[in-house]
Amino acid sequence: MNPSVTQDLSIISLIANASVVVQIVMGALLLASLFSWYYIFLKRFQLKRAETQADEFEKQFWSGAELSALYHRANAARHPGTLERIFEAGFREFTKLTKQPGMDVAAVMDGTRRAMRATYQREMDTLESHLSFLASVGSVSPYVGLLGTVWGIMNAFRGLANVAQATLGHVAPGIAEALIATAMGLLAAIPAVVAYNHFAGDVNRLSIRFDSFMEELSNILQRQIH
Amino acid sequence: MTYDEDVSPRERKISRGLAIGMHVALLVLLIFGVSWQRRQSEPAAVVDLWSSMAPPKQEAPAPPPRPVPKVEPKPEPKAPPPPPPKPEVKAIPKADIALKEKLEKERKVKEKQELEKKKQQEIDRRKEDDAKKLKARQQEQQVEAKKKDEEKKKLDKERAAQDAEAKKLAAEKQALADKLAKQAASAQAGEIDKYRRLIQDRVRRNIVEPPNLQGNPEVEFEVRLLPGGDVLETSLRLKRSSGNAAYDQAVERAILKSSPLPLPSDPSMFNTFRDLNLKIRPKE
Repeated sequence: MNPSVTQDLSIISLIANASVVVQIVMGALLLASLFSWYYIFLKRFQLKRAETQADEFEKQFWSGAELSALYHRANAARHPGTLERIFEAGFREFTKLTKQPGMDVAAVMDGTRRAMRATYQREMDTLESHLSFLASVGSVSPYVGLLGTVWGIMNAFRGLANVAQATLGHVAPGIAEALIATAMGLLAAIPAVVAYNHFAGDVNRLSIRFDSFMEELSNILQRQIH
Repeated sequence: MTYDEDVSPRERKISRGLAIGMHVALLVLLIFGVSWQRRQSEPAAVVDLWSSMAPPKQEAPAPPPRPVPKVEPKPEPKAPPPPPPKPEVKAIPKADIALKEKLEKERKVKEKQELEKKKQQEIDRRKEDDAKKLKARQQEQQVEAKKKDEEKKKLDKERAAQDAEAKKLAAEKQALADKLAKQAASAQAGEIDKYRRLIQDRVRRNIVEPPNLQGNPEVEFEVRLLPGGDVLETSLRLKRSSGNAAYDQAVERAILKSSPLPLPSDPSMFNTFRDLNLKIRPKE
């Protein structure tokens, strides 16, 4: 590799002529960018779907349908939404506990709430999955790109040592090559950070929605005991 | 109920396709968006030789008399005719007018003076007849002296006019000479250009490229030529390395092998080629 010589400054030749370390860094950043975009689209679909399903279920729930009918429908659904699952788990536990003799109201409600909580946590885990990946891509890839740049500039200056009369023309291509690594790092990081913030906000809103639904459902179930 | 169940394979496929498509689009945008850098590098690959050599235009003023007759026989016949008509048409009439004006002024002055003198003489005659003659003589002498002075002034003025005319002629001649020099310089520049390419081609043909050569690196050598075009071996000096020592040496050998370098047949142009600054790239 002789980074200080090339005069063709097109992107492809800059990448092809970079030193091995810089190329590895660039490859890693490209992979990180590819995966982060993959998860960005995936997450977008998932969260969108979770939201529409929650909307539908809440509409059914508050339209005054009977709880047992809702439970059967949720049981039969092939792809139940998060709220349906929470409702299903809570209602199943509630009917089991009320059938048992000698259970007081507090114990029944506690068991129901625990069942709903467990489903809620599992659901939140799937909704939040891969968000941490976006966060780490957003925070780490600029540093990785910077590492590639520093390495490339080191190489460029090392090549300069062989030259009797150093000019900007000897260093510039090497530095341009090296800076591509930083550009790639930033290109990978910026969408990841934006998407992370966006999705984290979405997930947070969904979790608040699920939380309040759980509280309302336990109120309704508690009323049914009496 | 795990994550895998939650995401359908169709969504995965779409996401993958979108992610890859986005990167391809970005890459295409970068490659075509940054093409201006390549355009910039193209002329650099063509312009090669003699960056430090004195440009011919600056040299031109000094040697104009020599190249005019030798290099370009055509401008010579053209050259003489313009100067004579111009001075005759422009310079002389001006000088004539100036002279006439001067003469008229002088005449008026003389007339006034003579009138005054005559009056004085008449008065004098009436008053003193004896002193008249003496005074008249003195006055005549004074008048003669004045006339002589006036004649001197006239002569001076005429000389000044002639000087101005001469200066104008000289300026016109110089302008013509400059024009001719410029023409000669441009002709010279064309010639230099031609031989620069010849030299470059000859050196390039003799380069044995090292196997590890990458890109189109430029190396700069300083060399002094003997009048026949022979390379003065001791003068060959690496001015700017290409960064690839093997390539530098290959070019050095190629320059020595190319000796004698092609030079223009006109010996007056040798000065331009005496100290060469050779910039060589493996590809044109």
